[in-house]
Amino acid sequence: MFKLFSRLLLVLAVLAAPTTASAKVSLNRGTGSDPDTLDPHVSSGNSSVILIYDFFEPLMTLDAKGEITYGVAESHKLSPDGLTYTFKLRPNLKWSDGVGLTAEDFVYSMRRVQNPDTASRYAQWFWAIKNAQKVNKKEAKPEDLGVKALDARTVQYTLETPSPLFMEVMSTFTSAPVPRHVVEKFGREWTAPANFVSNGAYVMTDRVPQTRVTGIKNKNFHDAANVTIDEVNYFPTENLGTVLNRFRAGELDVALNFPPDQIDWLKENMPKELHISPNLGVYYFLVNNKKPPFDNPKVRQSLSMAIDREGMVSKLFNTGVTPAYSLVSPVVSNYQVYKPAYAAQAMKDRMAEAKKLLSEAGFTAANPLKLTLQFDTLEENRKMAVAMGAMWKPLGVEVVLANSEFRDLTRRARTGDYDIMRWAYFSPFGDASAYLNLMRTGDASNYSGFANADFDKLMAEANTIVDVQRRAELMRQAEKILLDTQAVMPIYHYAGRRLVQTYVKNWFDNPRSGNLARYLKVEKPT
Amino acid sequence: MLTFALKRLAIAAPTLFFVVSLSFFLMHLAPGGPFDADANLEPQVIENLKAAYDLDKPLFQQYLIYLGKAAQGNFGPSIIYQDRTVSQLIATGLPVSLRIGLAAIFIAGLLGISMGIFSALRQNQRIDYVVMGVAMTGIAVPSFVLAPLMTLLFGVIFRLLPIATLEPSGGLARAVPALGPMVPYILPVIALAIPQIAIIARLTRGAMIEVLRQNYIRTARAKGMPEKRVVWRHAVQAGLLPVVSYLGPAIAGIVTGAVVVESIFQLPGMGRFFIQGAINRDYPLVLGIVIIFAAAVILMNLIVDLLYGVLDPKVKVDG
Repeated sequence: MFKLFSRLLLVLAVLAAPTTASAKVSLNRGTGSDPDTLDPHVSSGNSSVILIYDFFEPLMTLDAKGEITYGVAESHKLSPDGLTYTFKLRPNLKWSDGVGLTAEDFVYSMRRVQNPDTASRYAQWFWAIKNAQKVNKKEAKPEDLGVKALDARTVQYTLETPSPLFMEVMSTFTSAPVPRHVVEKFGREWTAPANFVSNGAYVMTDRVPQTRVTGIKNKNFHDAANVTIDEVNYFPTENLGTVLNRFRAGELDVALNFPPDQIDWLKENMPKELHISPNLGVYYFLVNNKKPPFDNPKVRQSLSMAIDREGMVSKLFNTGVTPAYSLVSPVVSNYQVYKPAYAAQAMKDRMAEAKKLLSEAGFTAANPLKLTLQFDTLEENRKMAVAMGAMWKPLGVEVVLANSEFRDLTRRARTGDYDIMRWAYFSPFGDASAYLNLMRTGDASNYSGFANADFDKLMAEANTIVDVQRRAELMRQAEKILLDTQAVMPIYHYAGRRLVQTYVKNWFDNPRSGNLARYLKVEKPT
Repeated sequence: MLTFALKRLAIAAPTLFFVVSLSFFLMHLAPGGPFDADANLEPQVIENLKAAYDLDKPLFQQYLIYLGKAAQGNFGPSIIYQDRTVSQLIATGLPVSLRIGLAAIFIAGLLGISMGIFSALRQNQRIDYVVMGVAMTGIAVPSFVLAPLMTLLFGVIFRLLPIATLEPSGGLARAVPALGPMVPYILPVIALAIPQIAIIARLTRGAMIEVLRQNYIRTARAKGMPEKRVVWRHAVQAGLLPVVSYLGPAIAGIVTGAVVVESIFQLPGMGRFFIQGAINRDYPLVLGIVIIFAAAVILMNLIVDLLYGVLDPKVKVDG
């Protein structure tokens, strides 16, 4: 009966095979979670980033390989004191509605980002600009911001201190310009499809929350001549099982995620479509540096040494992640990560030393170390926590596993209400300072309570000098201080997991995951 | 009947008020706020964000502000979808949920009631066991198993139906273009209907069997009424009462939140907004949907009570 039925269906399927090929080239991308908003200044990032990069172009942007390159700007100059950046815009720039785009748009945009009423999440990325933080706190007027239009094609940024990250900051999605004439006319509604105006390779024409966003080629884009895909559809892909089915059915050309347990099947059956490559994320354990006995470096070192990262990564995850001994991702530019000495030791020797360190700290079989490991609800985290309990057991450590919602985990991180917890950081910048700055004394994101004056001094200097080599050296010294006292316990470096159809050409895996639609080509076999 | 309906609607207002107030404070009791998942933000930035949504004010004041706006039909801006209002989101979600929910309930009612009557009339015969066995399977197989299986079969292997797009695509849409925009809804409606068919079939069968044993049925048969008339005029009408009382809340439930099915087929229905809203602590979005859900339940219960008056001669609906 089933056989007959399936044959019938097959016949129907053949009869209904496509007959006409349309001339329009389109790309269907999965985006992960549903994009929150297309306003580059207020978006929380995440899944919206892909769309915002396709729809808007900042002064700097990403090239086909994910490297930072000129976007709206055609050149820039940096003053010898490192404080003034002057960008020259490309000639004849236009918004998608044909209105001219000028340096004034960039002045307006940065004032809007810093205006507290805009409530921009990433206003903080630009606080190197003169008075930016003060404007964001309503302590200075927007006009006092260090951004000036020298003429229609020249925009100048004045900084508080030299900032080695500045060019990268100017390539982030939040640095994109927004069309003043549209924003002021429609207010919050300016990103509705009927009002939407942008300056990137595509312009959004339709948006159904939880279902689809559609963008069509922007004829006014400065490089429109080289854009070959006419239409891009972005689909939220929260249900991982559905993603894989949709990809296999050809409904998606690019998918950003899939069920991790399908990795072996994919390696076997779709090796050409499967793309795994390192990205800028690091999974690590926060250790409460302020709470005894975790304030004792020996306790932290002992626990970290006992973690068999290689075994865990290959047996538990097998999804392209790599063991981490450093907080900084090895794929950042101009930096060699620091690894503590035990990284090279055999597990047996490490365990012996770990036991010794723990007993030096006063913990023995009679007086075992007790700790609670916090993690949030996700299968991978649960596996990890269980493995950790097993790895610390030979040291005589008694581990309580505590599961909570991610928001509760964040609350615990902020208030220091934990012993050890799983944590992760996805850097928005391909630079070591982004990771290391999280550990500075008093930094809003320093959830570990780590406080070291030498570390702070090294980072303060590294954050304000432009000399690449000297900077790398300072940061490496800082990372050494961090890891020799094991103030955090890095576990693994993340990898991007994607599915890309073989007919999508010009796709280059890269850590920033910048695969802008303008560079891609869709060459479906006919 | 009219006074009854009006009275019930008058009670609805305080009920809604109570539901909204309770939800408001329960939502805020849940640990973590809307911006707590954004790690690595400066305190100043978080303050700006909270101020933008009035979350920096004392809780009771937030409550009063919300009530004031909600009373005028303004549910406020969504926190996740920062450029949309809750009303706009409900306006996109509700029609989708209504469409698949009502279609599923219609199919489920038609098939379920037929199967139930059919089985009841052949109680304890082999065919009764077969039908009820099938129905039991329908209840036992959850949608999160059934729906992915259907997408794999009809979407990936046969390529007949789209998996999760609202554009008509796949073999069926090309073979029968007239189906057009209905095509993307076929799988979700089936996935949604199957468990309901099963439940309704079992309810109908049980009620029918009980009714068929009643004295008045025996009387009807004894006075020589044709069997067809006994079944359709007397038994079915009374046998449908439990189904009607089940359908009321079931319609309200399906229409406002077929969460699993909406998530698998990536449909922009109310259920997904509700779940996303709850996970992300999008207070205005969740409260807006709670209001719609509560209103739907109240309305459906009213309809059920009115229908009872029509179906059951023992029930009188009046002021």
